[in-house]
Amino acid sequence: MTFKQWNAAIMIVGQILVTIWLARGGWQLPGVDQSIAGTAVKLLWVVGFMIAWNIVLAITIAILVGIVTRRELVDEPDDERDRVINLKASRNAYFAVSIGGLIALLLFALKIDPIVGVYVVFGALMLGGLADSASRLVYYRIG
Amino acid sequence: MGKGQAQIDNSVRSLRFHAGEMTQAALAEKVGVTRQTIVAIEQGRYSPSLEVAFRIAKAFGVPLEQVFQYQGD
Repeated sequence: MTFKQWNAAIMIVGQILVTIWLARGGWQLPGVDQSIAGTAVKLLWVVGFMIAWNIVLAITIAILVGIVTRRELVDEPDDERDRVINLKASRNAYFAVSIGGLIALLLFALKIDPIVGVYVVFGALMLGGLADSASRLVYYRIG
Repeated sequence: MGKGQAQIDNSVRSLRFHAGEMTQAALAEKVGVTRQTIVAIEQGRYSPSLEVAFRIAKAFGVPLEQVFQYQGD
């Protein structure tokens, strides 16, 4: 696997972990401010976790792959195929985010709890990220 | 990549062989793409742009049609 494929895989695992955490009630931690502002702060911490996860795992994987294969795992400058794959992955991510945004708007229109709405918006962004990473992994493999 | 990819054959592997077993990495460097792109082109998984196609032909010193052959109707 190339550096770009490893990167996509790392992001997928991170996004799945966060989704599982949210699905298992991570958003209902006791003692956490349940206001919209409190929820937003919590989700910003989740975003921070995602960034740290991606950096730490990318470095760790680069070191481990280097040890196992005896070759340095480095990122290469994008060429035309990378740009095409990025565009197609972005298209899929945009589609996923649009669907999530639409669902969030519908929920708001049905007078749902705004805090749940914030989670739906966050979920849509996570879904978009997942669609982007998964698409890149698939397109690098098949096309 | 794309709907027409299966209709374009290429002779990159054979041309590399006849060019003194030129490596994929060496060809990639000459053409200005990544080695993965050369691998994808050789396996027919990606159809390059016209510009890259011409650069591949130039790297081997042969006409374009000797590198890529359109098999469609």
